[in-house]
Amino acid sequence: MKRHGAATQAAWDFSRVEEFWARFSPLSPYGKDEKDARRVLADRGAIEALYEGTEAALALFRDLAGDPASLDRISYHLRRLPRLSLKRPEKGQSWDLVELFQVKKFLANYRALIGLAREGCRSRFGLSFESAALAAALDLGGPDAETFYISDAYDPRLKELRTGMAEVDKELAACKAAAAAHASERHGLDFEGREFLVVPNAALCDLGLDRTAFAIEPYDDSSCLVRLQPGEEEIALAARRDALVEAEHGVEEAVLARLSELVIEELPALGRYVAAVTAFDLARARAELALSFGLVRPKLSGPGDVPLSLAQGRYLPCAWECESMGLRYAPLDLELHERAAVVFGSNMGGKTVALETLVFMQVLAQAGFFVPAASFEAPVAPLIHYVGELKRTTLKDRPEGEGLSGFGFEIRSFVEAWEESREGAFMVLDEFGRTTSSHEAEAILTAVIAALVERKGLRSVFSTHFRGVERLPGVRYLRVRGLDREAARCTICDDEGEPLRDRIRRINGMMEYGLVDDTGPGPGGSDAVAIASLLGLDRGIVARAEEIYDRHS
Amino acid sequence: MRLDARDFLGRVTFITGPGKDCGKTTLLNACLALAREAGEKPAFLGIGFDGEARDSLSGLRKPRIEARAGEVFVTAEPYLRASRCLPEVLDVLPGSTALGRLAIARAHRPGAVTLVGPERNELAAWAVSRIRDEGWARTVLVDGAINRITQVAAFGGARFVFSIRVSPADLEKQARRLRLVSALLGLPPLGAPFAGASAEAGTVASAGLGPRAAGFPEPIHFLDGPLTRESAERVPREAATVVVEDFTKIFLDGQDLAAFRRGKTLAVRNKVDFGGFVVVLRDLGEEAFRRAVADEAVMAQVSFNPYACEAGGAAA
Repeated sequence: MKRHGAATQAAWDFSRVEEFWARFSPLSPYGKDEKDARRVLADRGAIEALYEGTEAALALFRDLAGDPASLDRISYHLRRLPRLSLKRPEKGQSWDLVELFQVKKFLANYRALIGLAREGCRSRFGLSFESAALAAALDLGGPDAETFYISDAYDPRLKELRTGMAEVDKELAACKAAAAAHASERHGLDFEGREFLVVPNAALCDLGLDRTAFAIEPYDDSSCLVRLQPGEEEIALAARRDALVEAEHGVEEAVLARLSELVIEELPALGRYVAAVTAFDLARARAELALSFGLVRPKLSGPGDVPLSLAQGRYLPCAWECESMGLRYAPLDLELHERAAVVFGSNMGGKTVALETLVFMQVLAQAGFFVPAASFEAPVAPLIHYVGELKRTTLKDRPEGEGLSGFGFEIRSFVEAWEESREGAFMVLDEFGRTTSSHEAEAILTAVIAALVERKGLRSVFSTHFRGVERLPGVRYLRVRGLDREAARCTICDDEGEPLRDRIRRINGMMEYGLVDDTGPGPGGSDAVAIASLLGLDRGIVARAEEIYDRHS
Repeated sequence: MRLDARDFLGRVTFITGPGKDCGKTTLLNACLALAREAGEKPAFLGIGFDGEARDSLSGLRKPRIEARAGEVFVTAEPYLRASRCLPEVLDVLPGSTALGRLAIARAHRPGAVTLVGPERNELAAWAVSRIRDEGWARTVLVDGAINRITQVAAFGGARFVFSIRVSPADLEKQARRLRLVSALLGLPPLGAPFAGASAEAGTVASAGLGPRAAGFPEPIHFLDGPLTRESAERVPREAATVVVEDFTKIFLDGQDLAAFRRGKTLAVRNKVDFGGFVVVLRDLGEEAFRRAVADEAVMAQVSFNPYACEAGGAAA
């Protein structure tokens, strides 16, 4: 079963955490790699350390609130950190220009970051710098802090060789210019910096080209390629230049070897710098989300500790969706001291959303994020499971799942979760048993709930329509508040042809979201029939369904 | 029409053509010469690596390009120091290629360089963007195949020139090709609200398209991917206008294109600015070429071999 650390892929997908993750924006390549790793942790200490990092980043934001330019510069330098290779070059090999450039650029931006961070941040993330000798050596490679070349400053011989080369280049340019001027003035051939010209054969004789000054090759039936032929002086200068380049190359090799040695000595320190900027970048990105969405620090307890408490929990993917559709969104409140809970309720009443909210909070909290709630307290789960109908990650999509019916898939999904779950695991089961008859489903569901309650330290939350499940000790029974039936009765009127979007908006307006304890049979009448009617089911069918429902109730 | 430095100074110019051996690199050198004559220090890069030893136009070894001091180019790690132009590394492109990592470098002195560019369009766009954003060069010349235009052309003011080599054996074919490219370049753009990904591909919009779509018959079908004979058959019958990303995504020959346009209006989301055709003739006179093209509007977009020297010695 694919996992993101402590969360199964199914739990990840079910809670739509990816939609939140898309807004998580580390800026450095290291932070981006960590983002891509999608780690959900199970080590409380490690998670708390991430929270502390976020607190430190938030404190930095507060300190720099009046200095937005510094905040921008922090982002700027994080973005410009290059990806370093922290592996030693093979024996006898030096690093080349590109690696040294990367180290120089990294150190320049890293030092700038340290300068911008406050002391609290520096000590929290280990943003320290002790590679002054290396930085000074690389800074000789050009005045720009973010570019690198083997400058004359590395070896006095380089200056001498390059001065000689510049003189040769000047003489070479003069030779070429003289040859071009000769071609233009004497023969009317204007090269204008071009390496060759295509000249009609008919014109060649008139031009009277001197074969020592021009190289002539056939181009096609009617014309020739004419190139300026280098003279003796030019050839000699080119040879001199080649010799100087060769000598320069030898000195450059020695410079590269020396710089490589310096970098190799500093590799452990560079590794620490990378770890520090990674932690800082991630904390900054987490803090940014905390500020953008009003997130709060979760309170964690050890695996298997019972209480779970959520106040005003906002399931952001759903809240965003509601906002885009102009629908009302209601946050979730839940205090759960029991090891298991069963949520009954109306269709479209928010049973599944309640489960999604809980998984969303748990996954975010264990991925080191603050959460969108007034408060959230939960034990750390070594594994977060989801069992339910979710097409993207179903067992059906795996080769071993071929041939399974809907029911077979549900049972096998549970079997896998059951086998993997250990103390402290958190499991949500959305409408488990939906694929079989209600009588049989209630029996299986009751047995599964009992088994999960009995398994030490495991927390489970179920949603179901089957009200016939047995009430077991140690299990909390809840229901969604459901449809405002009175309002529904008043509005089910002439609505033929009403667009689906408007119908959904009306249901949303009449639905009372939230969980209450389910202590009895609940309100009379059927929410399902009323909602079917609001969704446009033929009125005759609705009337007949109501009659049948009343007869059986 | 004649190639002129003013056409590409201060902008991104994509030097392209219908495939290999159409004279792109030689044309790049001609453009570089013009830019230098105008006092410019351009940046230049290729797309991928052209490993062929000789250019079919000049017979010269290729891709040999001489950088001058202050000019910016893109090459692979192993070619950097081999370039002998004392390169200063300005940045490194994300990822790596078979030839190693790619670097944007600036020459400190003259020296031949080997152009090795990114294979992927988005990385080419990234490199161009870095060169321009950092102010390393304001004129950028890109040597690449026609199917690479789309993303690089997204830069403001970017344009492309189309290099083509013509001999008597392929005169008719190349003349048709020019007419076709010219026709594709003339396709109307749908307008800003529909550029990029604003309209979902495959959808048929029948109403409320806004003022910029005015004049286009509805319903409008947005085609995701190339327009080929096969995809043309899958276009909904009721679609009155078909929109493709840009002209490079159209793979119909002249006849099929004409037939398609008889039944529907064809438009593009993104218009690519065009700098003209650069035609290199071999064993062929300009007049014969003009007769084969037989379209003065197309010929108005043509300049001939920038290396050609007219009889009597004057440069063409």
